[in-house]
Amino acid sequence: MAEVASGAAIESKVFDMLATLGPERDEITHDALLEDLEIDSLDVVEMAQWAEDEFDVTVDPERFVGSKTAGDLADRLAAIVAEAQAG
Amino acid sequence: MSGNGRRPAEGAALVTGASRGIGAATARALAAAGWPVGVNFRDDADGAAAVVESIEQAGGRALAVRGDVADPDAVQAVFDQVEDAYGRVLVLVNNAGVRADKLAASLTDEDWSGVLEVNLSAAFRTTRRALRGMLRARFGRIVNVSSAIAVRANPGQANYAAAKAGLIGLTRTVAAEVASRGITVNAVIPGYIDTKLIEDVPAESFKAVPARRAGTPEEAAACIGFLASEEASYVTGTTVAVDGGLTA
Repeated sequence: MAEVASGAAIESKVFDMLATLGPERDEITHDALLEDLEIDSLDVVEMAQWAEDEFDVTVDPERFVGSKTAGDLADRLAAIVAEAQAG
Repeated sequence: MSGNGRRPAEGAALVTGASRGIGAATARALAAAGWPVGVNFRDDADGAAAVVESIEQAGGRALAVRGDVADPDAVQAVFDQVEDAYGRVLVLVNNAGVRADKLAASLTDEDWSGVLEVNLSAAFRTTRRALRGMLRARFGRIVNVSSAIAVRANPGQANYAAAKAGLIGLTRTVAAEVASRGITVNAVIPGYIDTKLIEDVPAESFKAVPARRAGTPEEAAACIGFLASEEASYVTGTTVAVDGGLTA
């Protein structure tokens, strides 16, 4: 069984992943707007696919619809991972 | 982040319905262009094996991969096999196609849904699956094999026409969605190509073709090969006719 990932650890991994899509890593903070980071909807789909491999969970990209900030993405993913771990 | 348009050193091509006809010729063309090729087939294992053998004899790499693309689980298995052998699928040619011709007034639900599943829905599923790797690679080439029948009426083929026209809609929309990632999506519309699919077409049909003959699978494959090439990096969302002028 995969090690239980904390919210903070998930956020750090999500921000590292987002940095591979274009923005500088130090621009990516909890409150950074996705629009400012130039993270678009296809990037979010890609992040969801990455998360499936990274955390061994099923991730419906629709769960991220309406996210405004990098922190929103991380929080929503943390919720998905927590749900999966709760079984 | 957009790609630089350059073809990665690693990666594979997958051609559905590649045991004969346009698919077989396309598999050979892509192998000649340096891609290791997944030669997908449903029933014709001998045909697929012959395609693989011809590719290997020419110095290329290929793998015959059985799987009915109308079956979502089989699509996953096909991708897994090709990716295990050669890495990410970066060129996808959706070529598998079937016909069940009748006048619309007598088409059954099964005639309709069966043709739509193989000729259209399967292409969506393979595209969705292939995009995972292509998005990460920031490179991809998807070529959908539509048909002249998508744009030119042929009584008795309402199901086939709807599926093939649907492929053009799929092509254009997905092309727009992923263009910023170095991924192109195009369609070819073959006319009469000398394959098993048209073996029952009467010779007088070719009188409607300005070129006065059927095309060869290699002529269709050459066009697909170009669309799959690195050089075609600014060609996306379009359809290219390979039809001897039939739809001109």
